[in-house]
Amino acid sequence: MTVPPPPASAQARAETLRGLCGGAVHLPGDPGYDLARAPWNVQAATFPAAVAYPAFADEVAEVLRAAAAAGLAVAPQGTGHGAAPLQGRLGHAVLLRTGAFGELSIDEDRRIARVGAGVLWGDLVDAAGTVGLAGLHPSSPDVGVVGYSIGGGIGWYARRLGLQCNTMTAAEVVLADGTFVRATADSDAELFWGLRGSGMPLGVVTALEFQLYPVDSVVAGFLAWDWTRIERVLPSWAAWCAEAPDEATTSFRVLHVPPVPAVPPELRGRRLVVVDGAVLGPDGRAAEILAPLRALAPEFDTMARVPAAALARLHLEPEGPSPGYASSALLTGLPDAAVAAVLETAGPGSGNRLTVAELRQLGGALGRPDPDGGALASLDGQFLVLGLGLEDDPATWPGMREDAARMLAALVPWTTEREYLPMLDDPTDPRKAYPPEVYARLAALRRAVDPAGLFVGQHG
Amino acid sequence: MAGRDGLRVRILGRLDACDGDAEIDLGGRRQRAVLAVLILARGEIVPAERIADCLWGTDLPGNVSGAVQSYVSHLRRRLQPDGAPRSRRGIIASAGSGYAVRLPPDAVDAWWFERLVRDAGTASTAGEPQRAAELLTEALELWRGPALSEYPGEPWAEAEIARLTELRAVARERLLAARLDRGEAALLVPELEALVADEPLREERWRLLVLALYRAHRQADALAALRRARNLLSAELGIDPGPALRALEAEVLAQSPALSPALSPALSPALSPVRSAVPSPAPPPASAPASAPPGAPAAAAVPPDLVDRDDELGTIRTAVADLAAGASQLLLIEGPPGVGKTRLLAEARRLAAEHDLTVLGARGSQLERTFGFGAVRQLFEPTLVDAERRERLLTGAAASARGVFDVLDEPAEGSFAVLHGLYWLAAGLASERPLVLAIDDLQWCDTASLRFVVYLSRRLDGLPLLLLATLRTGERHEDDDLLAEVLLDPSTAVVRPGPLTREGTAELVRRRLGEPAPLFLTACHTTTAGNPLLLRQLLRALEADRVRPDAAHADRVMACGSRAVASMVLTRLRRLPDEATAVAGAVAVLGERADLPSIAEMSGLDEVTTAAALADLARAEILRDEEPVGFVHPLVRDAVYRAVPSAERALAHERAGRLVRLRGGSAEQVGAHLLLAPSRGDAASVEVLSAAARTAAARGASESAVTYLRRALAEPAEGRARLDVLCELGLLETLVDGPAGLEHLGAAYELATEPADRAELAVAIAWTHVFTSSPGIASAFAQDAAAALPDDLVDARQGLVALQRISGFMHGLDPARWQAGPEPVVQGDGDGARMLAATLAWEVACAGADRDRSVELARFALADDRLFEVDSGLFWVVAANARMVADDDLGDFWERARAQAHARGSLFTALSVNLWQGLWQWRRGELADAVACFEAMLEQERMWGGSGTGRSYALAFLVGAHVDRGDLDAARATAELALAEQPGGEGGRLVRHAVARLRLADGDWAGALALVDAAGDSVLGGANPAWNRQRALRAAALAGLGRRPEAVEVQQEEVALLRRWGAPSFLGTGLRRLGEITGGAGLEHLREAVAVLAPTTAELEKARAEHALGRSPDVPDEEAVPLLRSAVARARDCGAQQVFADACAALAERGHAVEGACDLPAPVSVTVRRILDLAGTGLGVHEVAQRLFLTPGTVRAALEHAQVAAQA
Repeated sequence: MTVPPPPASAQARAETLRGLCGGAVHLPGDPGYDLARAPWNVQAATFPAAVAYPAFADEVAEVLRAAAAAGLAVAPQGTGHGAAPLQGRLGHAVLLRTGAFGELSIDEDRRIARVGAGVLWGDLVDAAGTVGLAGLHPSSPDVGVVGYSIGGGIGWYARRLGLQCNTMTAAEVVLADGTFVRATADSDAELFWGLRGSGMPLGVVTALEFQLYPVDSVVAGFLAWDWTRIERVLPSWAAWCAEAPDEATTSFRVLHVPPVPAVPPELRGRRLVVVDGAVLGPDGRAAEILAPLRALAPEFDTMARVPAAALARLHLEPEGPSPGYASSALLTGLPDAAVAAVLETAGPGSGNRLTVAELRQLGGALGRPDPDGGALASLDGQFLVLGLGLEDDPATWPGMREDAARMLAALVPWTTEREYLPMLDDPTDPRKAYPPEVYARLAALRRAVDPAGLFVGQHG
Repeated sequence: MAGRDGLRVRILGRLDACDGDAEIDLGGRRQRAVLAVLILARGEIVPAERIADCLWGTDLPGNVSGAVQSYVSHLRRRLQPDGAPRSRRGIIASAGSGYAVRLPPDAVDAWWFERLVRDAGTASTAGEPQRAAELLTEALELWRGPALSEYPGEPWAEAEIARLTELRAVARERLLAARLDRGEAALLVPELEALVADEPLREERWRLLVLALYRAHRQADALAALRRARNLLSAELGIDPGPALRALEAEVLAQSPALSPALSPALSPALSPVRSAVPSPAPPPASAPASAPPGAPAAAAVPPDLVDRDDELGTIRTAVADLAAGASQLLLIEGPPGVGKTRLLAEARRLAAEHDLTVLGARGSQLERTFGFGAVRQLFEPTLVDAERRERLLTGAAASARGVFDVLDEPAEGSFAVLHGLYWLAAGLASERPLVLAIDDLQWCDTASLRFVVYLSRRLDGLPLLLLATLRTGERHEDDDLLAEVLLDPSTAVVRPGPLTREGTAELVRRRLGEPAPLFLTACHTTTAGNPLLLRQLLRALEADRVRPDAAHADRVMACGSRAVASMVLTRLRRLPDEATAVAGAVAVLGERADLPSIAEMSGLDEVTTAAALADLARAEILRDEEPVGFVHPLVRDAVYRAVPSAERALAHERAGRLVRLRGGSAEQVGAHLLLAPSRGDAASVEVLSAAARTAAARGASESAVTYLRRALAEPAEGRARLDVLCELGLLETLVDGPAGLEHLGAAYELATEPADRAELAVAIAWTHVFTSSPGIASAFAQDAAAALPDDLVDARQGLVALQRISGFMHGLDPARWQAGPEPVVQGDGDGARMLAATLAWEVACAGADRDRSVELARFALADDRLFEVDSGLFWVVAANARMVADDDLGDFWERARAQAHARGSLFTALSVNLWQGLWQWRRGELADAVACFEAMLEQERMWGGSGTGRSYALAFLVGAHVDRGDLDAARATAELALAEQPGGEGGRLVRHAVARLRLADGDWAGALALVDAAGDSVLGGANPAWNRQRALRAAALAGLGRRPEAVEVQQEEVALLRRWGAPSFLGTGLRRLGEITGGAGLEHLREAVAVLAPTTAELEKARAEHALGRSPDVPDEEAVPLLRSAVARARDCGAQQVFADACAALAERGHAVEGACDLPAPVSVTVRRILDLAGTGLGVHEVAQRLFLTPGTVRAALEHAQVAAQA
C-alpha cells in the first residue's frame, strides 16, 4: 500500500516542532521516523507531518500549541491498533504518540488501576494478576489500555460486567488549548461522560483510572472442531447462547490457523471452528454451563481453571505489529436463516479467505444500559459479526475485504441500526454508533472542548 | 541445593517455588505471604492468629482462621497437586491451630545458603581457602535479588530480610577474604573497592582492601585506603577505626610478615573457575572463558558489559603488555560523549592492576578546570601520602615539582621547572615499577596539567610509562591547541570506539531485559544510534517500568529512547520526589567528591532525607552508586546542571562557595565556585580569589591564577585591592597572554599614584611591549614613561631608556627616533644601569669601532649575574651577544644561565639560553650541540607561544649549522620553513642571510645575491661584519658569478672593517674568504687567517682556513700536509662533513691517505661526552639524566651506543 509522504508545505511547518519533547520528535527523513510512524496495524500506512512522543502533560500541551501554531492537526495515538481509518488523513497532522506515559499502579484496597496512556493490556493484566485482580481486557495483550477503554471495550467478562469504558473512574486529559483536566463523575462530568465510549478525540488522554475486579482465576479456554463440523456446531452454539447465563462470554470463530510457530504445532495451518470464552464462577457451575457444548465432542478442549492473567492471551492472536483488517456488524440475533447465511458465506465451500470469521456473543450486561455509564452505556444487539484478515501478504488483502463484505451483506436482514466503531477499519459515519440524542450531545461536547477542530478523529 | 526433582522454595529474591523444572503458581500476594511466613519460621509452628496478623495487621477479616485455612489449603493443592488431600498435608502440616512447613534443608534456598556459609567457615578454619571460596561462591549464587523482594518493609519479614542481607554481606566479604588467602591480591583490588563503595561503613571491607593493596605491593595505596577509612568513619559516625583496622595500620607501616598470605600464590590452583563464578558488583571481574590458555589469566577475557570492543581491548591489552615489558606509549581513547571511553579506561586500569603495574588516575572536570595542576595532583598525590616516600620521590630534579603539592612561599616564575620536576617524579615512580597514568576527560583538565601531558608525551622514550587518556570529540575545548599537540603527535596511538552494532546492542538488551524481539531491538538500536550511554540510560528506564522486550513494546522504546540523554535523565528525575531534584541539583553545583553534610545543606534538607534522595538517584542511575558521590556520566551532570536556571545556578555557586569556605575548603575550591557566582563587589571574595590565584601561581599554573584574578577584577575589586589585582594579573598574563597583560598593567599604571610603583609598572609594561606589540609602541611608551618619572628615580629611568633603545633596535625603527641626542651615561650600578650598559654595549658593537668599550660595558652589565634576577632573558642576552661578537671569552656563563632557567622555572629564560648558547657552540664548531640547542629552543618557543621573534633567529642559525655540518637537505628544509614565515626585522635579515649562504653552497650565485639584496641592512648599519655578514655573502656570490674584481673589492672592505673591530675569529674568517676569492695572490691572506685564528676557539673556521691554505698548489707538501691533517681532525671533531671531505680529498691529491675511513664518523657531541664522563664516575642513568636535563632514554641510548662502538 503506497501512500504519498506528507506534502512539502506540511513538512516545512512541522519543522517548528523539532526539539520539543526533549528531542523525541521525528520528522520525515529522520532516522526514527519510519519506526515512529508505524502503527500496530501495519496495513495502515500513515505518513504524518511529524511524530511526537511527549512524556508529560506539559509536553503534550507544548506539542498541541506548536501544532496549532503551525496549522497542523493532531492525532493522538497509543499503539495504533485502530489506525486503519486514519490512512491517508495525516499528511497535515502531527501524530502524537503516548507511548512514554508508562505509569502503572494498582490500588489493591480500592481495586483501582491507574495507567498511563502508554500501558498495554498485557502489562496491566500481569500487574493486576499478581494481586489477584483483573480488568475487563480485550483478547490481545498488545492493545493499549487507554484507546481500548475510551472506545468501549468488549472483553471476556463483558456479559457479566459490561463494557470496559464504564469501569472508568477518572481520566486525565490535555485539551486542545493545552489545559490539563482531571475528569471524573464529579468534576468535568460531561467530558468524563464523553470519554467513556465515544472514541472521539476530545483531548489527549494521558492517564486513566478504572475499576478492577477480584477475579483470581476463571474457567477459560477453547473447544475446537475441524471446520467440517460447522453445520452441527454453529446452530448448537447459537441455541446455547440463547440460554447461557451472564457468567459466560464466548465467541464462535471460523479460524484459518496460520502456519506460524506461535500456535501449537497440531493446530498450525488447519481450518477449525472454535468456541472460546470464559466462565466466571466455581468449577462445578462452569462445567454445568459448558456441558452442552462439550456434548458436541470437540477435538480440542482446553477449558479449565486458569489464572485470570492468562486470559489476555486466550485468543492466540499475533503479538507485535501485524497487518489487520476488521469489519463488523451488530446482529439482533442468530435465527436459523442467519446461521445458514453464515454457513453459506464463511463455511466450507464458501471460498471465504478471511483469517477469522467470528461471531461474538453479546447481551447480558452489555445490553443493559449502565445508569451511571458514559456515552456508550450499552451495546445494541445479541451478536457481533466480525470478519478479520490477518495476513502478511498484501496481495491477499483485497480478497479478505471482499469476503468480509460478502459475509456482512448476507447478514443485513439481522443487522441492527448501530455500529461498534472499534471493530471497523473502514471509515464510518460515527452517527451510526449512537442514538441521535447521544450523538448530538457528543458533537456539542466536541465543539466545546476543541472548537478549532485540532484533533483528527478516527471516524469522521 | 537439591537436584532438579523435588520441591524447592526460593526466598532469596522474589518468592517462588518449583517442582523440578516447572514453576508452581503460588497464587495471590496474601496466599504467597502465608508460605513466606512459614518458611521464615524454619519449620516452627506458627499459630493461625500470628499468620493472620502478618497478612492483615489490625484490619482483620471476620473469619480469621477460615481465611488462613483457605489459603493454606490452596497452597497445599498447588505445592502437591497430585497428592491425595491427606498426603498434601505433608508439606504444610497442621498443628493445633497453627501450621508449619515440612521441607528438607536443601529445599529452601535460604536454609541451604546458611548451611553453605557455615561449611565455608569450617573449611576456612581448616586452612582450605579454595574449598571455602567454592562453597561461598555457590552460596552467593543462590541470590537472585533482595530477599523476599515483594515484601520489603513488611513487619513480619523485615527482621529476617535484614538478617539474610547481613549474612550475604558477610559471605561476600568472606569469599573475597578466601580468595585473598589464595594469593589473588592484585585481582581483588577493584572488587574490594566496589565492595567498600557499596557499604563504606563496614570495616571488614576496608581491612580486606588494605590487605589486598598491601599484598599487591601498593603500600602507599594501602595507607591511603586506611586514611580514607579513618576519615569516613570519623565523618559519618564520629568514631575511630576499630582495633582490627588500627592493628592493620601498624602492621602495614611495619611491613609485618604477618600480612603475607597463608599460601604462596604459586601453590594455588588455577584462578579462573572461581573468579568467573563470583557474582560481583561493578566493575565486574573478567570471566575467563574455559578455553583461556593456562597462565594467561583473563588476558583474552572480555568483560561482560564490554561489547563490540574487541579491537579496542586488543590495542589496550597490547599497550599494557608492552608496558609490562618496559615499553612506553601514549594511548588516547577518543570519541563522542557516551561511547564508552571511560569504561575502556577502567578496563585498561584493571588490566594494568592484573599485571601488577602501578596505576595512577585522574579525571578532568569542568568545575575544577581552574585548579592549577589539579589533574596532576589527582594523579600523584596518592603516592605522596607517606612522608618518607614523598621525600624520596620529590628529591633531585623532581624537587622543583614540590610546589605543585605543597604550597610554597615562593611563586614559580613559569612552568618549565615544574614540568621538568613532574617529569622526574613520573620517571622516579616508573623506575620502581612500570607506571600507568590514566586520565579521564583530558579535555577538561586544567591547562597546567595539559602542559605536563604534552611535556611528558614528548619525553616518554625510555620510560616504562603508559600514558592513557580519554578525549571527548565533537565539541570545542578551551585548550584545543594543547590537545592537538597530544593528538597530532605521530607517536600517539589513538583508539576510537565506534557505535555499538545491532548485535552488540542485542547483547546488552538481553542482559538487562531478556531476549529482545527483532522489532524491539531495532527500536533500541535506532533510537540510541549505538551509543552505549544512551542505551544504558534507556534500558534503565525500561527496566524500571518492567517493560518486556517484545514487539508490542517497541513503541515504548521509541517513546523513551528518542529523547536526548539530557532529557532522558530529566524525565527520570521528574518522576522522583522533589527532594531528589534538589539533591541532584546540589551535587551538580558542588561537583565531584562533595560530602553528605554539604549536599544536605545545599539542598536545604536534613541529612537523612538527603541520604534517601541520594539512594533514589543512585537507583535511577543518575548518580553513581559508589563513593565519592558523583554523576554516572558528565552528560548526566550537565543535564541536571543545565536544568537549573542560570541565575539560580549562580546563586547556588555563591552558596556553595560559602559552604566550602566554612568547611575549611582551600581558596582554590572556594574560588572555583566564586568564578560562577554573581559579582557583588565583595572585598572578601576578592581576597579569596586573589589567594586562589597566588596558590595557583605558586604551583606554576599561571592560566589558573589568571582566571581567578580576572574574576576578582570583575567582582569588582576596588581601591588598593584593585591596583594589587591589576598588577598581579598583568604580570601573570605577560607569561601567558601578552596583550591582555598589557591592558591590565596599563590600567594599573593609570591607577597607581606612587612614583616607585609607577616606575616598576612602566618597566614591566615596556618589557612586555617589546615582545608582544607592534614595532614602535614599546619604544614610544618607554620614552614617555621615562620622561614622566620624577628626577630622583635615576635607575628606573635608565631601565626605561634601555628598553626604549633596545626595542628601537629590535623592531628596526629609524635610529633617529631612539638614538637621537647625546649617548646616555650609565649612572650608578643599579639594575637600570646594567640594562642600559647592556644596550649601549650592543650599540657600540654594532658600530664596529670600539671593541674595548663594548666589552667593558657588557662585562659591567653581566657582572655578578645580577640581571638574572630582574630580567628573564633580554638584556643579559644582549650583553652576552656583544661579548661573543667581540670574541670575549664567556667562560661558563651559559651554564650558569641554564641553571638559572631551571632554578627559576622560566621557560622564556630556558629558550633564550638555548638560542644563544647554541650560537656560541656553533661559533666554536660544536655543531651537533648547536643543532640540539636550536631544536630545543624551537620546541620551547612553541610551548611558550611568544611572538616568534626568537624563532626566526633560531631558524636562521639552524640553517647555518646544518650547512656547516654538510647536511644540505636539513638546511633546505629548515630554510623553507623559515622563509615561509616571512620574518621581518633583524630576524628576517638573519634568515635571508642564512638562506643566501645555503644558496652559495648549492652554487646558486644569483639566488644568493638576490637574497642578500632583499635582506637589506641591519638597523644599525653594516658597520660590524662580525654581526652583519652581508659583504662576505655578496662577495662570495659575485665571485661565483665570475665578477671577481667586484667580489674582491667587497671582501676587502669587509676585512678592513673587521680589522677595525679587531675580533680575531671574525677577522680570520674574513681573511680566509678574501684569500679564496683573490686566488693565487691571496696566499698571504690565507696564511694570516690561519695565524689570526690560531688562538681563538673557532674550531671550524680554523679547519676551513687550514684547508684553504693547504690545498693551494703554491704551498709545498711539508707545509700543506700538516695543515690538511689538522683540518681533517678539526672537521671530524666538529662534525663538518663538507670541510672534512674536502680536506681529505686535498690530502689524497698530495698522495697522503687519511687514517681510517673518509666517511665522517658520527660526531660525538659534547652532550654525549658529558654523559660518558658522568657515567664514568659511577652515576646511574637516572642521575646522569637529571644532571644534564636529559631523558633517561637519551642517556641510555648514548651509553649503549658507546658500548657498541667500543666493542666494534
